[in-house]
Amino acid sequence: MEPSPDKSHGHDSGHDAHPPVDLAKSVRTYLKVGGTLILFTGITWAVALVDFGSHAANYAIGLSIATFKVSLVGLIFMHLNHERPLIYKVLLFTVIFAAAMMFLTVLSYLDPIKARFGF
Amino acid sequence: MEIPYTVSARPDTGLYNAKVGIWLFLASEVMLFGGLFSSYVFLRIGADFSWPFHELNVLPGFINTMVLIASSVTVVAAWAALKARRYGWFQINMIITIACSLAFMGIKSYEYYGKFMHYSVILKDGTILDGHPAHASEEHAGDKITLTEVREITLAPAWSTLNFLNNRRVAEGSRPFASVPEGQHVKVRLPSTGAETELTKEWFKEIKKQYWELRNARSELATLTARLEAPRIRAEELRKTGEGENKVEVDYRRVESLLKDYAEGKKENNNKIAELAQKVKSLETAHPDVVGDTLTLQVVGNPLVFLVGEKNLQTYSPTQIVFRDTTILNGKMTGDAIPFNIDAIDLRKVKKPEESMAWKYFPQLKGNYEKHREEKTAEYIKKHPDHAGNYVEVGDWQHEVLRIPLHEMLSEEDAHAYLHDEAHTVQINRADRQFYSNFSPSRSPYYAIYFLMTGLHGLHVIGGAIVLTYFLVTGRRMYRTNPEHLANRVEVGGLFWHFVDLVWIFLFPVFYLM
Amino acid sequence: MIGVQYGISGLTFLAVGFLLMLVMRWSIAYPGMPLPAGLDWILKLFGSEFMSRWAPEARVSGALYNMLGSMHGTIMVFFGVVPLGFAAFANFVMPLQIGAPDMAFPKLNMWSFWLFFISGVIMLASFFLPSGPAQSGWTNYSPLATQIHRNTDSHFWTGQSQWLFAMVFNISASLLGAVNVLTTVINLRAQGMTWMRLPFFSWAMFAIAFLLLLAFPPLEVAALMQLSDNVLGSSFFLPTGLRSGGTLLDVSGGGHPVLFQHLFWFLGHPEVYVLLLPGLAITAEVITCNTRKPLWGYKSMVYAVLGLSFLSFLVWAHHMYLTGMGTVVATFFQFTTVLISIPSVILLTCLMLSLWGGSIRFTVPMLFATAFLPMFGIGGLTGLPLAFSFIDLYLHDTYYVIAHFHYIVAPGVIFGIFAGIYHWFPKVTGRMMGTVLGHLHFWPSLVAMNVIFAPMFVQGMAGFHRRWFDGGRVFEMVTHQYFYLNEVISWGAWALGLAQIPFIVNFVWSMFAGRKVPDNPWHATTLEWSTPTPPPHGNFLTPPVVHRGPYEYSVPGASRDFSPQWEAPSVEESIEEDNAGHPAASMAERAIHSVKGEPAGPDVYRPGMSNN
Repeated sequence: MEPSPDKSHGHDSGHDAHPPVDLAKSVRTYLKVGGTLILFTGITWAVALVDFGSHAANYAIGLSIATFKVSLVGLIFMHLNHERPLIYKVLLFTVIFAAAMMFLTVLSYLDPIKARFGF
Repeated sequence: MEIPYTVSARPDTGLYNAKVGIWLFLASEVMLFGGLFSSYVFLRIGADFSWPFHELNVLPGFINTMVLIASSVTVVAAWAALKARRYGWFQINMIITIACSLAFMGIKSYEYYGKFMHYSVILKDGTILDGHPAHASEEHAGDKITLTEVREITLAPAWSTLNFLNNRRVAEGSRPFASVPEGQHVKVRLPSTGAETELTKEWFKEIKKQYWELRNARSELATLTARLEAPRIRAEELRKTGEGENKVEVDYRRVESLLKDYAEGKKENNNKIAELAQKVKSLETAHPDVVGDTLTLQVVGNPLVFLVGEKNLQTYSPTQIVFRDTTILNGKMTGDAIPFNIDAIDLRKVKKPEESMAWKYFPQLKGNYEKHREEKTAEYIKKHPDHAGNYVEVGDWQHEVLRIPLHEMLSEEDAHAYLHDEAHTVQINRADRQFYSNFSPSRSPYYAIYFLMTGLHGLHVIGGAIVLTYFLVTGRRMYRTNPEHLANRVEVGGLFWHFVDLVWIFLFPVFYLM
Repeated sequence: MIGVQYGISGLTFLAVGFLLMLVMRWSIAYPGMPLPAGLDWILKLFGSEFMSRWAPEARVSGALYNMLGSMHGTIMVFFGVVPLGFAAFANFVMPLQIGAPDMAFPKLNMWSFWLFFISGVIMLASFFLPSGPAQSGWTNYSPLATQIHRNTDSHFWTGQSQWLFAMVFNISASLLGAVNVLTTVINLRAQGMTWMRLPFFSWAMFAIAFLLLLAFPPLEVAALMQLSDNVLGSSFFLPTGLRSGGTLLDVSGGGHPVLFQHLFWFLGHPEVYVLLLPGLAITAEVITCNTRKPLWGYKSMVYAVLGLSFLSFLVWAHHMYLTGMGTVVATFFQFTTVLISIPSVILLTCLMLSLWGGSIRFTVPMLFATAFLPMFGIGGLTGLPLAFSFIDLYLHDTYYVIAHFHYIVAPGVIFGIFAGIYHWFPKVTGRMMGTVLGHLHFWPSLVAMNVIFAPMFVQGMAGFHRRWFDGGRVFEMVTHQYFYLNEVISWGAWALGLAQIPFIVNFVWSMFAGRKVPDNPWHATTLEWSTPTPPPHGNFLTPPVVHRGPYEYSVPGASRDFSPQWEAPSVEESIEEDNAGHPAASMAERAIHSVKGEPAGPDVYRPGMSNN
């Protein structure tokens, strides 16, 4: 967590991670992203009604679309496409721990000994 | 020294304080919802019941997703407007955001209401009947018991609260369910003196006071006696360790001194014990009603009628009910059957669906069921020829064939009639009933986690909306003095709002579509 | 002064939790005997009704023992040690150490204190409920936790539900506090206070705050789920076909008790390090100050603390070997559990080596800090066997486990906290705590602690179970040889209680009549000793500038044996250092710092001094 080299600002200038905003342009971007999100919500619903062979396949497709939508929200709306390294670090560890929690918790169902000897 | 970096960013981290704070907070929120999603997966994988699949109505969820996405767009636009120093645009966008949050909560309440009004009866053989009690809106809907001819009430002053009186009703012709007019008290006769009194909280407070007074006095006496006896018991214990198989050497001097302590203590405290015993005795004569741990009262005048939810009871039998606070009522139980209309039958957990208890209540539907099963099975095997031999064990087949919304095997009108016509109301007996609940958290872990996750998400929406409203209302003054600070605030509030949106983007497919 | 508020309430809760334990020890040593007058006043604090209900004839009933046990654990962990060790010190010392004017969000800070305070009041209030407080252990496992108070009039007002309400408040307070601490360390460090100049104590607080931030939410989930089970009748943790007293419970079933344990221990294990690290961090500060030499291996300690924090998220299920969870996951957790002993050993070793060759001043805080090392060592090493599931099968829930973790939290962490109180008391009040009373506090405490916990290892290996309220009388055939230890331990506990009296006297007396001392009485180097006592609003009179590492004691060439962080290196020191052969390095550092926009100049990073 060393200080990040950033040439754009001096010592006492006010923070301005986003250079003076062109309102019309950014609003247009946000609207486009919003439209995409709504479109993909519709697609999620539509693909849920199609049978892709197994439930697992359906879940995988549904969750991939959701993940895509979530990354759009994160990257564009929450400005994670150009954020400070510190925040990436915090989120990285958080995601690792959350994933570990889900994976290891569910892993406790797995027991080859039980499966083999049936008790 | 003032706190630095409240508005401008610290050069080496590139962040102002609130932004560090909100991202850390969001990290903990990720763990919160991560925990909830983990629980969802864990419960679903380990479920020993048929996990509901495509059971929620998708449309409200879909609309809500769009509403939240729209609000996300406007909240980030509001921030951009502030950055461009366009206060008017900021206001408009914030107002839309807050309106969206209200719309979201409105739709959510509509969904919740529908679930609370929808009930399930699980019969002893695993058959599930979905629908609603015949008079869903009336208070005697569902799992209530009527106890009539109550002439005797047993209270336990240590535990009872008199809350059971809220369930009292007056008989009115064949439907004894009218509530008691305000201020009309129950009159009872006390066992000790035969005096009559009104059952009120004030009276009971007095009884409780007397009870604890007496019990504390007794406890004091018993404590003193026990303490005086203690050395003797200890001495005997010690002496015993010198006997038998595991014997050890005993310090008899210690035994002697213990016995001496015992004798001395007894002598010294003789007066005290007599005093305490006298106190107990006088309290017993002064408060004869609370000498025992229970107090049985005879009802004066007409016998009482009670209407009680099963879940408020410890136990019940045809002649007696016991409330959770240990109050006992003796009487005659009626109204034990639920008048129920159905809209779906679920046979997935029944060993032999053709012998399900459902056909006892709806014999006329058995033929429809057999036809439905044949048709659906043929259709299923056509789609999945590899399951032709073992389809009975396949979850998908069970879901499609054994969970039967009535409109799938009847015409729309007939199905409607089963749900709404009194002619199709059946009385479901207690003896057949395993579990009864509306579609609330108690229905199954699926609904429990549905309500917990959407409820917590809803609380986040409410919290976020309150904060954003605060920024909107108080914004103008800050905009004049320090517009950058306001922009930062809105950015931080917006980050939270996007996170709430982000959670919903996962919640929607997980609960509505999977 | 929120740090002081936390400190006082933490000490109070510590005392309450301790008193509850004294009653429990009576029941174990002398089961069925009426409580003596010296102990029954503790129960009378909760009203005579409480006595009549749960301790008729002043005999401790099984239910009462369970209540006391549950509340002892809960109060000690969540209301005693964490607020005292983490919240109090992190609020008072940490901002001073990093040169910050205050916590980053002062209002939020106040909120978290009051949320914590309310949660404590709710928790204590549950003693006055008709149902009594929670009885299912500090871990509150379902389904017992849901079923035990099922037959009470209102599901909202049972001890079990109230425990959960209090925890939800407590967790929220901890989360807000953690956000505050982290933001302060990240964004409010003084000029020149680079990460590797951060005192080890502040590093530890930083790590703890991360643990709290990321580990507490799953417990909040668990608490809300159990609350839903208790109040709304759901079945998150209730399996199908659950019976109580022979009758089927009127619930849908279909849930999993093991899920609660997973969520609980996901917090529970990091929580162990939340308890432990303050003690360790305080010890590090006190030891360097009193040995007059730099902390041995400062950098490795920092990395060890970070590694420990990371790993602590991945070891939780070693508390659950007996739940019947799968063997695959049990194997994984054995592996990580053994792994986590490495950073712990690094920390302990560095602290011990810090003593080496120092001219040690045995002040009262130093006594506690030195005692911390072997006590923590015993606690840590006896934990190793428990990491293996096949040994844990035998030792699980015995007094062996009790002894193991109490060696860490009682003579370990509490001693660390006492060291901290004696060490920073002059900074809070401007007065020194008395030395004679301090010795009267330390020596009896040290002896009593060992009298209490050492015999427990023996009892544990003999199979004594931690929840026997009669101390094992029901299994007399196999336990009778060790009954006498029950009495030994109990007398040790009461002696420990008496040993705290000098501390209380000393604390109160020194506040008003202790010896007045200057701002830096210990001749320490970290920033908190540079401000006036008590620190003014804004903590410092002028914004502090940091010139060097945190532990520059006995710097060669310096005129005194301590070179504070706030003092620029003198000419002699610079020459000495150049001779030691670092000029090139400092030039490079200087260049890097000027690129990064930090003021170049005398406050150059000096790798030679603080890190050995």
